[in-house]
Amino acid sequence: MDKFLIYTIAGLSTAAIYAIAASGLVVTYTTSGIFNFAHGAFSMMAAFMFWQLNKGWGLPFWVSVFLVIFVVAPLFGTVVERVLMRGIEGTTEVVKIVVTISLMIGLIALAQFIWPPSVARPSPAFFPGKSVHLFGVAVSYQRILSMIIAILIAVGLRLVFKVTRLGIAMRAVVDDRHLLQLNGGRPGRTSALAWSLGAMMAAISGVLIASEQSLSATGLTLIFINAYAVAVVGRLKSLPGAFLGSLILGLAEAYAVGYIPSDASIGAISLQKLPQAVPGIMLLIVILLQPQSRLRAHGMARRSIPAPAVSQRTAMIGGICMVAAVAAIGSLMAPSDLNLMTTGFYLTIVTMSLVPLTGYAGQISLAQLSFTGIGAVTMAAWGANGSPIGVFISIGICAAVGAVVAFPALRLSGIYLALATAAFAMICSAMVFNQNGVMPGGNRQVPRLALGPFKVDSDFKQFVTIAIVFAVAGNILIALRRSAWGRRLAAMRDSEVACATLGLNLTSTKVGVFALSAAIAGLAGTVSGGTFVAETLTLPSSLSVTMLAVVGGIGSVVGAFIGGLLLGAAPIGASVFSANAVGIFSFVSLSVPSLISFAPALMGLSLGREPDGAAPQLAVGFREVGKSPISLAIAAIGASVVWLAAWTSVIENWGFFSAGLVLALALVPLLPGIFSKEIDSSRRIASAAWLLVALVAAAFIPWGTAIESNGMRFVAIIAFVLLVGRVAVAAIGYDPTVLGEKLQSVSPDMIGIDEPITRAQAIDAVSIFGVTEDMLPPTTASTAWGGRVMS
Amino acid sequence: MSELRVEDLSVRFGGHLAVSSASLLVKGGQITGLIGPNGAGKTTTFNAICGVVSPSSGKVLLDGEDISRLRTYKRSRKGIGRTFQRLEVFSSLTVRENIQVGLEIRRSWAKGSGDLIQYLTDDQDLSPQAEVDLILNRLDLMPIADHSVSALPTGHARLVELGRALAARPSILLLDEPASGLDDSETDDFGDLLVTLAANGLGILLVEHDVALVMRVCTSLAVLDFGQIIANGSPEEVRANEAVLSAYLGSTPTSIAGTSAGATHDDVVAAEIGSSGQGFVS
Repeated sequence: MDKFLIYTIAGLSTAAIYAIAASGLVVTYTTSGIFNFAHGAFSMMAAFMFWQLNKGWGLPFWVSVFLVIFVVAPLFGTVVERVLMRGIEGTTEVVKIVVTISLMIGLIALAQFIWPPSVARPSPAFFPGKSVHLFGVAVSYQRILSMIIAILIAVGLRLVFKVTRLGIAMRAVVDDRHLLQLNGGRPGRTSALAWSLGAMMAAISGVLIASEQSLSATGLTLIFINAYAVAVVGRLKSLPGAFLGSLILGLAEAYAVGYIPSDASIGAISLQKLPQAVPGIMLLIVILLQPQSRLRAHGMARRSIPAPAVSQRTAMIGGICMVAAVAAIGSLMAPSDLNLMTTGFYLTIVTMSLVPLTGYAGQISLAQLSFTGIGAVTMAAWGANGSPIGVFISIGICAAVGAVVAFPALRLSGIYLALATAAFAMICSAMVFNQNGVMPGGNRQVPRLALGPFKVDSDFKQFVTIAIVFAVAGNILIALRRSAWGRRLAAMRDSEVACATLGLNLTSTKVGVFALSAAIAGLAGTVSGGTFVAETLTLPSSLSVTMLAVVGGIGSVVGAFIGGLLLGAAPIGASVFSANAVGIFSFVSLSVPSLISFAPALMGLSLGREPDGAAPQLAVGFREVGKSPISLAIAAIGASVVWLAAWTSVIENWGFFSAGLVLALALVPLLPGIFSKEIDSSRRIASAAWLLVALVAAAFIPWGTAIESNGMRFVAIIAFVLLVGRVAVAAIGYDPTVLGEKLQSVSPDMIGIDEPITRAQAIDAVSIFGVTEDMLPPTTASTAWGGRVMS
Repeated sequence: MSELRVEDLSVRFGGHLAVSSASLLVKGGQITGLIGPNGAGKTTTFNAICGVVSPSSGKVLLDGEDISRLRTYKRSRKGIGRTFQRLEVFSSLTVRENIQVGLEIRRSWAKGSGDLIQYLTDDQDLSPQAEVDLILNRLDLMPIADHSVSALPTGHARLVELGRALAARPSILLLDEPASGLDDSETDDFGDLLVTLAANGLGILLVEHDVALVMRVCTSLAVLDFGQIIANGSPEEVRANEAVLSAYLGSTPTSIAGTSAGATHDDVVAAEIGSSGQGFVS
């Protein structure tokens, strides 16, 4: 009985903290329509800030509590809303999810940078040592405080939303921002308030939990990911629902810890980590129980990730070039570098698995690495000698598992699919990959492929094999995009409701594309040929996969390749530059690995400005090259010359690296500009000469000996490439980005709100009254007419 | 020919009764108009017929079969097609691809061949390509077939939606303000097109604010106000109905009659309709 009481009370106090965190999540979601994946990271930052104020700077306990909750947190929430979230209003669900995930990853990196994990930070407790006895069980004041605060927040928020003008305005923002504005509301101010309120809730839960947990950036953030499951009970919108969910989850977790012995098992399945899987299991069950969401007609004016239809010929040439380039680079690398590159190269296939799902169909998955892990494990089990049959079995299994995971969530809207896959990733890492039968000793070696007499027995062959698999799969995906099915996926992404009224079964279409995506992720695991460690196949790692795939540009196979390289490059860069730091003005010194750990998150956040990712921007320059035979020939000759020079050791490592970068990023995209007929020849010759000089300089300056630090070399080369490109652009007077200007889509409802009214539209409107153009006052581009600037 | 029957349909959003026991009959080969002031519940009625919202009571019958429990895509496969008041075109595809998708979705579940757009041609053996071309030509979209839909003017985008819906070969087609954004001569052509489609057996339920168009093409009219059908009948009957006048003009017929110096109710409406084609209330 005592045991039961002890765990009940522990469960209730955890539930109180979940409830506080979840109400913050619900407040921001209902008012901004953005599900804040970084909410847990907000709590974590608050906990560290609290430690810093109280222990680090020695402020009194209650002063620190006050400052964190009522000053720092609201300020932080407001800044996040102003700088990041306002920019992603009206973008796709995918961009919203990825931006908040990037924020979460960025905050974890920031916390680890400011407060290095190597130092232990015991956090101050509320009323240390004080407790009361309830039914013979000691309950600390702190736990009682948590429960009281949770109840106060429940009552307080209910009052705010039901009674006050502000609360009603907050609910109105999410219904229709423009309408609220037209009726005199101030949506900007309202959603800033909502975000600071959300951040305050996060801070309260963070401060309350800090003393019960050791301060760890990742650990604390993950605890609060459980609050996602809790919020789903109330369909992300109901506070009472979230409180009910907190009770269920808090108690379920406590009883799982209390009553399931650590050596328990069902058959061969160990239940050791079951408590960690409880939130994931609950999330999946709750999603299963949700009623089917209704279709929404929303009008067409939404920015969406473009999926340019590349011709099959271009795709095949691209694939061959890619394999050739990989072989060329691989043949030049030192064995240790090659080994490092090969280890992470399979990640390009993992990011590619999101192309059909996210790029074509507009759905999202946060569990791609779990499928990769399943693929790797099944390959190790059924393809021990590297037989291709093992590959086929593995991808079949992954497709089936993917379909089963996706099915319940696909009846619902995008955010639920994201959460269901997150739950799947949590369950996999807690209950599947840590089983001794699955990964003995926590890791598993995947055999390398063997096709009859041909065996992949060296790093070089493995490197090229992955490139070939990528090229073939990429070509299949591009063929798919051009097929009837691909058109249907694009149509579904643009308007689900229109597809349904045309007779398309949305659920089976989505299950199909999800299974395909899971199969490709599994394929990456089967051909990876590396060692998989259970601890790396977690939800946060999968989050990075999705984030970088979108950063690269998920609409295209090329974008996925860029994303995969970024993903693989981060750990490689961190180990290559482990001892290096970039000094700025000699007193601020940043270590290169921590710079690298920030980089992906910053790129993710930049999606708020450029939702299409990197690939479309790069593609603009390169696409023109394909159209001009001279440019294409020069690019090919240039690449061969650099490769030959490196192969014959005329240029060494860093020279090759910098020459390659100048070639790929500065010279090649400018070639069409140089050969364009519209530019006068003297400028053309000048810029061509400049680029040639730059290429030679890049290759022959002994970068390796000129600069001591690897980090400085890296920065110097990037700066050099940017300089070269910019000077050439200035000389030609041609900017490759101009070519990529997209057609703006304007909903008729938005004209005059989003876009200034044009003269033509104004004339159209007043013609009803018999006004003709010559009766209107003459206007110039800068004249205001009818309160709006004409264009 | 098909027949769509809506019986005592009610749709409730929380405390708001958007549609209240509305009954409608749409017959194949005829154009039925559904008119009413903004917010009267026309689009909600459409949504309930094709399953985008679920009605709180009432039935939707297609050829006598109750389809009110079916999901949207199944109703579509039974023969209900529609367009949208707020555009729902596939904005990342071209005009041709939009129509092609409609056709391909149908072909993915309707196995039989002998394909035809029975409302546009008698040719029983059209290839998919020819079928798309036929629709593009008939809607005058051929010159812009390879343009991206996202850059089209609203009027053309509405035609794309119509073409896409036709490609799915409905027996009953719901059109939600299809002519808004078209100019006068385009509207005339559009009216002719609707008449042709109906003459070939298609049943059309038309929501439209352009009263001149409605009066010209519709064989019967239903008037919706505050979620209730307040009048039903031929255009001439509806035009003479007092409840309709007061719903549209917001005052009693007597006071209007007073202002127009003894004119009959019919004259007032006729004047309204004849004046500009702008409708009662736009």
